[in-house]
Amino acid sequence: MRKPFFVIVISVCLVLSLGLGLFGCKQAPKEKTFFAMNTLMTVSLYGDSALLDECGRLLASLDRTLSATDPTSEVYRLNHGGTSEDEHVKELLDKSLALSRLTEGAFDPTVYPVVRAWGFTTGDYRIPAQDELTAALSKVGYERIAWKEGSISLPQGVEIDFGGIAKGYAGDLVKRYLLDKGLTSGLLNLGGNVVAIGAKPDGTPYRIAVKDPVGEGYMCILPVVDKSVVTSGLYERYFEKDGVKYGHIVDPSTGYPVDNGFLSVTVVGEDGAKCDALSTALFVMGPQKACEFAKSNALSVVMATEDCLYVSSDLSSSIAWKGEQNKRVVTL
Amino acid sequence: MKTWVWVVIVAVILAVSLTVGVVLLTRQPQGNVAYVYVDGELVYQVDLSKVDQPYLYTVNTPYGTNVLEIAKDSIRIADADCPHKECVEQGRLKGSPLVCLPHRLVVKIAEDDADSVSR
Repeated sequence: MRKPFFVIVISVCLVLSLGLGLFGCKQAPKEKTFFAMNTLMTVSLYGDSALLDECGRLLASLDRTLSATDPTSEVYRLNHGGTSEDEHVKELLDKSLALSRLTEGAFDPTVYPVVRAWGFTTGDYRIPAQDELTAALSKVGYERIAWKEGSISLPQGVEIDFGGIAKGYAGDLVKRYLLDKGLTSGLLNLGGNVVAIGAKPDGTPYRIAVKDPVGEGYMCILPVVDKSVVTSGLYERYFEKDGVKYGHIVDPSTGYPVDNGFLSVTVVGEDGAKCDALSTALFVMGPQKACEFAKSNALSVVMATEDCLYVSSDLSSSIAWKGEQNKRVVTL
Repeated sequence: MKTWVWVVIVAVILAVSLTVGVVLLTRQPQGNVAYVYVDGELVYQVDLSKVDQPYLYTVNTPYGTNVLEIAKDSIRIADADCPHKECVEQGRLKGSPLVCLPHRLVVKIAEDDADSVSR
């Protein structure tokens, strides 16, 4: 008589603990929002909430170092004839120059004077006169920076801006910090650059949406574990003049905002800084060249034009398209 | 012990777990609550589905002022004293959060089936 009751009690306990375990996983992560690098940054993690404040300090300190407009920053000093010994600036310059070479200048940190001429650095948008643009373009060229090691200085007239890579780098830095502190699961969203640290506490991948470049919803959702997802799109920052839209992504070879049919380019990978720079570079290359580049460099990408969606073969089976997609899907 | 004692114990445990489960589940945020943050701190929240009469709500941040227009299932930044008024131009909150960078103000609705959005 005793045995069956014992079995019932045990099974009820099991069911209960399972239920509680599941609820435990549903617990909301600890989250904090910061403003740095001219954008909104959210850090959410499953772990010690004291880490959140340290993440904020890291981001603020990196912002002060890398800002191109703050007269006390390392980058400002470099752009005004000074030198820098800062480790972050060195690592970023090293990465930037390597990616400029890889993309043959489609990504170029020295495009800053041109971006400034269009007003994208301040928000005071304008169309620069041709001679002003020519003068700004003459200062562009990553090849002119000869730095290898030691203290950094820039050739006369050359100015840099890490805007196209800094958010990705910041994500890598915060991720490294959190991993060092023993964190196993967390999610960063640094102005639209998403960094997944590990998987969700229940072991399933994070579900990262890519914004629909024309509508309000999502274009697709990607399951992501321990990777960064970086998207470049023209909807982020642009202005309209006489019926023409000017987006904030400037082609370093022409000095003009790109208008090549791309609506958005997303790059997924472990190195967030690289994803950040490559999403801009692919956007500048335009659909045809970007597809070839992504293929030959085995990049994980999702790229959208007006009538076509390009997705790399490694993502094509796990991607969930959202909304009404009446576009051709091309697997690279 | 008698059979009925066990039955009662099991029934009580089931009832308690069911209640706890229901409470936990219904506590999940409803899809239509808008949250207003300044400097990352929640300063105001409103369930948009329960708004009968449209009204204006002024948020005084340390950096300036934003006026929110709140109506049934709708919230937008109607006015602000920031330089470019990009927050006003964003219109009604649909998917992406409304952001006023100079005032460090964010208005958002709890995110749905994605954990984060790359943009």
